[in-house]
Amino acid sequence: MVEFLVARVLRVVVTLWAIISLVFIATRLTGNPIDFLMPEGLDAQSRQEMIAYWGLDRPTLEQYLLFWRSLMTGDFGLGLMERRPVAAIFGERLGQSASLLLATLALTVAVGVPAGIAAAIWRRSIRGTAVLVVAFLGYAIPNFVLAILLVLIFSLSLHWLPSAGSASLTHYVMPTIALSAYFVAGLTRYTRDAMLDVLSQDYMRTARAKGLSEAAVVLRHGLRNALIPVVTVLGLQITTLVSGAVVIETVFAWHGVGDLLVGATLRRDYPVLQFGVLVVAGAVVVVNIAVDLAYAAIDPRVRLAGA
Amino acid sequence: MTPLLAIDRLSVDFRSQGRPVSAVKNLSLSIQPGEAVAIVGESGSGKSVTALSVMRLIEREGGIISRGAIRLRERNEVHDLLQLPEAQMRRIRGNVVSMIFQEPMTCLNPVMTIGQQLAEVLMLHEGLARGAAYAAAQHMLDRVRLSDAAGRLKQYPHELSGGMRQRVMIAMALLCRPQLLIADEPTTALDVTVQAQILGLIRELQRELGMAVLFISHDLGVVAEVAERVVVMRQGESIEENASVELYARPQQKYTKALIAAVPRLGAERAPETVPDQKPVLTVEGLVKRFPVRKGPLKKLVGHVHAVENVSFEIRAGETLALVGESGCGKSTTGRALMKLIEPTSGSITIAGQDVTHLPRSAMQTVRRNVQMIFQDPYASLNPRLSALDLVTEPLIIHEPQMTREERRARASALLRQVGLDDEHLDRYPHQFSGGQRQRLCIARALCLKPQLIVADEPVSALDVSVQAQVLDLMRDLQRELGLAYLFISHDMGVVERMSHRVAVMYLGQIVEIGPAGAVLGSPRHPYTRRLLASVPIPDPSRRSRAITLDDGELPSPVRRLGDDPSTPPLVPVGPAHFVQNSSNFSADPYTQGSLPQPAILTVEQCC
Repeated sequence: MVEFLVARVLRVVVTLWAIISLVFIATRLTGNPIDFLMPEGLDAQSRQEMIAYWGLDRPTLEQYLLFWRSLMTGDFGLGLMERRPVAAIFGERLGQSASLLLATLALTVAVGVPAGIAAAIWRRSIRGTAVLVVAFLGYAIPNFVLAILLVLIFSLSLHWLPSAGSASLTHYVMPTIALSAYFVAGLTRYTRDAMLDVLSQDYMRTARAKGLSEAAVVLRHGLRNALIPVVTVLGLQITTLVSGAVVIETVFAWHGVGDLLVGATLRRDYPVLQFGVLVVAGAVVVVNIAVDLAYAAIDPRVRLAGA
Repeated sequence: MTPLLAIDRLSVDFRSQGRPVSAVKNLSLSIQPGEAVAIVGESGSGKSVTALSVMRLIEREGGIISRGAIRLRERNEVHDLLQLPEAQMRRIRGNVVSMIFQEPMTCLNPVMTIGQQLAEVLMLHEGLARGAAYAAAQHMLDRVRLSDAAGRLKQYPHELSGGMRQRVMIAMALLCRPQLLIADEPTTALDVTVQAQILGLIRELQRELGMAVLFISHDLGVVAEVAERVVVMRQGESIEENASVELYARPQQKYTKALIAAVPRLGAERAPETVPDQKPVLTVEGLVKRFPVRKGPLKKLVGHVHAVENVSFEIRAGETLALVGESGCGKSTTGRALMKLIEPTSGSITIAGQDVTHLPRSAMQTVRRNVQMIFQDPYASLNPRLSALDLVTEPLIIHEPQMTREERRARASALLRQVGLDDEHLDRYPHQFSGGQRQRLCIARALCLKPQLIVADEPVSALDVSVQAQVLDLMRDLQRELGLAYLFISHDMGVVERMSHRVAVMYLGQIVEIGPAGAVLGSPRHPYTRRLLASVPIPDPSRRSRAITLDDGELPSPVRRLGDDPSTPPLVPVGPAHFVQNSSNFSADPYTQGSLPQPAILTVEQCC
């Protein structure tokens, strides 16, 4: 276990280094931020001064080393647009995004897993088909379309729910539903497939031969086995969730990280972008480790070796 | 006396493409308390369907019980299980009637501990508290002679061997002291020595607990070991029923006679005539294959699986050498190494006079013309999307690209006739053939390039006995006609005796005894060979009296730490062409009671 974590953390460090370096190089290949930062028609001399002020005239390698030195000291630099420390900019938005993502994740699991089990058990009846049709719709509707539909119905027509902002719990309802629909659909289908596979296993027959009730057979003997592939899918979903959040945050004026990163990319705001990628990459890496740990917790055959 | 279980004119159907297909027809059968009854039949005879109908689990598998009654006596009450509501039926399952299944590897839940799986039965049926249930479970594990019962409760199924898992299954079935135990092919997936242990255990427990047993098997040898009465089923119908001694001695029906005659039995069969001295087709010398065991983030080499250790033998034209042993003894690895499907670690392999040990992959192509292989599972070893014609002639496309399609078709039709199939089969696909016919196709494919040697890895173990006999006869006929040499890899001693001129016994990667079939099987000299032969069930209930003296040991593992290489004691002659590993320098081994080499008994986990 300890060995596993040490080995994984070492690999994470390498992964993050590669990602940060890639971002550093890629952003510098696409043009000069001064052109976005300064008004048009700026005279050559002032432009040169600005470039020197931001250190953008130094050799790339030197910029790269400087960048790492400040990273190590916890200085992530100032955002080029807002002229505030990057960490502070993110600090305001990270919590917003994280709470939306957690709410979405909770809803996805709470609906997707039971729906998948139900669809598997009812595989030969109309009810199972109904679950799959609903899931298919969730898969097919783009999240922003669903978001706008929700706003039209529940905010503009019925006046039940607020359409923008994140001040209260009611603000969470629509963004969470809009964001999770796609993932609920995916998880339902994966859970159904995994459960169908499990239902035909020999140990399920053994469990029935013991005299257990069908609920005990499915939930105690089946579910944990079915969760093994489901956890993998869930891990992959969480990473796509981050990109889905960008759109939903925009629709519901939710001041989160997604919205920030889109802006930073368009304006070549290197410090924000670099830190943002670091945050997202870090989150993905943490999720992956969590998935591996969850694997080991669910499936005793998985041994957490350093390998 | 009213019987414990009375199946009365039971009929079970399955729906196939909208039409009902009957799996069990009008079956009647009764079992007295404490009696051991066996249902014998080949695949598709309806024996498992009958067992699952008694448990009322057949509906889950798509079966429809269309007629009949299944009456179970519980104390003074008689229930018709077919009329019982599901809740009542659940009380009976695992409590009054228990069942164990064929595949101990897949019948236990992989994510629950042995303790959880056992205790839940007691908590359900006897309302025990968790602690009491675990204590009772531990007691039952002791009764099924599983070592370290307390520790086993915390283990998961994958940490146990097949034999140990079947003991757990038996313990689970017996927890509530059922009146009836249904055992559906409980030993079919196990090695022969483990099978003998499990059969002995079921017999003993049956006596101790006074329960009735309904034994389902395709193996007349196994049935003879356990059953007092036998019902023979064929195509869903009971065709003969009698006390087992009577049935084996005087079978009435033609089918029963054929079934009994088809069972390969040790000692009954004359070993094939000896072959004239020929040049060896295959010579293997000092063959070693080790698989590395690695551990840690740097994948450090910590040990080896010693799959094959210093194995030497030769096979001459027209001769069959059988390689026998239990799973994990290295017999299949040896076969694969010969074909260079895996690269040997050391040693030399000479095929038709050519040393192929260090031959590059490209040059092996021409060598493989001389050596072909037949695999165990005729279902998995034929590509379902190719016709018989393409399957059989595929080797020609590689080795004789100049042949035209017409020529290949002509060759294929000749080959099919040679293996007892017709021209009309040429354009059929594998799913249109039966198991036996598929194995014939595999043989035709192996013969296609006119090889000198065929490596047959358990070629008949997936087939029904009657089909088995036909395929073996075909292989022997082909050998006589074509002067083929066979390396016949098998765990089934009866089959081996029927097929082979010489026998080599493998144990933990080494050949411990090799010699003429009659000598090795008739007067075995090595303790392991003796143990193996003593485990073979005899298809004769009147000879059952032999004492089962097998201990409950587990086969040692061939995993060893780095540097701890096993020694290979030399083979010493004990008769004409009969050699045995010198057992005088063996240290104590719990597995064979002090006579086999004692390896470090390690699992991969412990080793590393």
